[in-house]
Amino acid sequence: MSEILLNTDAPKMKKFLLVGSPNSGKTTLYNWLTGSKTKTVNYPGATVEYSTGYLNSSLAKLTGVSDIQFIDTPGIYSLEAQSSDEKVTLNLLNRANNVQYDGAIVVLDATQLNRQLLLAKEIAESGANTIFVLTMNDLICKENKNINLDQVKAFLKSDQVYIFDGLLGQGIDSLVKALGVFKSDSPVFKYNQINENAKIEELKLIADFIKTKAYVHNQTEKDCDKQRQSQLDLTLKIDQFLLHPVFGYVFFFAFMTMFFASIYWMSAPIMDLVNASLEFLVTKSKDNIPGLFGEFVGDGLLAAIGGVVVFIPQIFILFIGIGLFENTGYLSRVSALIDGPLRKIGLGGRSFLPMLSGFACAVPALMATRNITSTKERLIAQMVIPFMSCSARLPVYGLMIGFLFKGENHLMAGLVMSVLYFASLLMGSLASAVLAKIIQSKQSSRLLMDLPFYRRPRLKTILIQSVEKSISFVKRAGPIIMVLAITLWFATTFPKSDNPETAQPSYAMQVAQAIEPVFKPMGLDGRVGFALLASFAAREVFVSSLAVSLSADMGGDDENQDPLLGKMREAQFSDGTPIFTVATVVGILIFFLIATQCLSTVGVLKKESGGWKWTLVQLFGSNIIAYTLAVSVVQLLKHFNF
Amino acid sequence: MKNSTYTLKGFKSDFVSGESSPEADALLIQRLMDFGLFPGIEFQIVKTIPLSKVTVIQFYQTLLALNEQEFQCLKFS
Repeated sequence: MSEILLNTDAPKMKKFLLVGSPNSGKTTLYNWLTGSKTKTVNYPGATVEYSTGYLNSSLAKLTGVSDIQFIDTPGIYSLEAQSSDEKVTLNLLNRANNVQYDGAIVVLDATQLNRQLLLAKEIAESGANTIFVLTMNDLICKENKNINLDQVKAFLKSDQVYIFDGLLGQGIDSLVKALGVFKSDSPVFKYNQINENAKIEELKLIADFIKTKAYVHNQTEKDCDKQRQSQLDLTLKIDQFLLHPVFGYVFFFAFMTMFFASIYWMSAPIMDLVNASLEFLVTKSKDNIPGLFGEFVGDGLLAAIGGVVVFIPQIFILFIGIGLFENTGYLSRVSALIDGPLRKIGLGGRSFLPMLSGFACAVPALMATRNITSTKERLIAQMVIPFMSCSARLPVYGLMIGFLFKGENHLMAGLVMSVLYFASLLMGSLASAVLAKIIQSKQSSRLLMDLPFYRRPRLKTILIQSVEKSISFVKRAGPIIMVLAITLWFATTFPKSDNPETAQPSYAMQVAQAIEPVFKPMGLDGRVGFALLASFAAREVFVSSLAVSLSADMGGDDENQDPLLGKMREAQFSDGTPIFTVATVVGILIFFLIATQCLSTVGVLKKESGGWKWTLVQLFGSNIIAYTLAVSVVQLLKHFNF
Repeated sequence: MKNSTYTLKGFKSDFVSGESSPEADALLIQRLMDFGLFPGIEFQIVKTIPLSKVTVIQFYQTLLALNEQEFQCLKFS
């Protein structure tokens, strides 16, 4: 972020802001220009923070142009900000904080010129050096030539109007060449607010321009209309089902259940394969590497890495599912469907998108709340998002469900996975209802959302993005896991003594014994408590920490297909009673379902909510509720001999 | 009511937006215009979702979902 503020020592470097309405194709253009792979989706408000990038080398080579920096900004509807993400863009346009740029590339969805031309004119008239780019014209017509650029140029009173096809990248070279010779006189950006009547007159002018169809060539006008009309008709037909007053909700619950359950069902065979490979590696390393180092590699390093790697298939499927939802245009419909029910608990339809993102990771989800205009709704959404079952919880769920069903009944296991996800939604709803009573505000939530046409999801893009996100998950968790694995293995292995009579418990065991009273009511011993404490660094390390803590004291179980599950089944208290039972496993699931443990989430929550007050309420509140509920359920289930 | 064509006559400036503030109402009207709605424009109501109290309208090739208060803001015939 600070890059564009500090990068003032390169006088030859040209900087351009990419601005425009939400879902107009800014990020698609940015990705083509910079070679970035920033996620593009089919719903408004996906970008809430700006990103910077440089002209990619292949385009630079092709056009002979170089030294251009691009800044992709959150979408705006006008030059009067009504939400925090819009303020980000307007601050950039206004050159706040000494931000400098040479020109604004105003990105216009050619299929929505009736409303986007107003913004384009407002920006141009505010003094920014502007270049206009018409996107999505592939949706208007199959060939770019159908847009009558001369007419659009005349209307915008600018000769800097270009066409760009986001699907094939056509037109990008002409745009880059134009940017290369773009002359900027860096005028002051000053928006003169226009009154309602002036705005209406402007909109009427635009409507007349659109009505005359002057912006498309006459000979292809009919074809264009036909194609757009058929897309609209298809969208309306699909909406007959997906926005049906009754069946709309049935479809929604069916899609969500299928999505959550498939995380378990679809990944099961791949996970079995990964498990078998890991088991093979552990056995081989312990057989072939002698001494303490062999023990470290087998019981420490591989156990810890394996604890996370085995869950990558589930995480990959989670991202595929979210990607499919995002790309089709369905998410905006869900927002409309559940706006009413959510308003009853202090949220609104616009909160759904950040909440669904929370199933992947709470950090971007918290940032996505910026396009919620109501302060109260935004704060409630921020408080509720950490309850959504993020990808880091998935390894814990997978392990515990695997324990409950012994890896046999995949159908039931998948359904339990769905129940866990719906339970996180329920917890979020309960928390929201309570917060709605506590937080006083007369502001009502706003929906006002445009519903994009349905689009066939670009499977290749979704696959690439899911692979990248899975890799990023491993990269993020990897260093923490490695450090913890080494620390835990050391703590569980030392001090070593050859004489059993003088042998002392390991350091980890000493700590475990000290903290055991806290975890005993949850039915857990100190070793599991130790792993649970370690998960406060990041949830995903719970599994690897558990693998290391149980390995050290029990050794491997080569006969079992899944070494960690085997160790869990064998783990006992000193009196011989098993630690992991249905009751304790359910208790662990409840704890992870509710507790906020992630440090990054806490940091971002503090930033987005504007201070420590609500962050601490969320952190301590969720952990106290999680612990109390887990203990209560464990004791209740134990009472019934589970 | 559905699938008939209506003409927007204007915006109700004294409607109860829930925020009880003329400024908030003005902001909402402004945003409706940012979406391309202005007096004289023709639109169709393509969908109503009773449970959610949401109305989906179509003008040109834009589909817009409005909640109850946002829809009440429109004066049309």
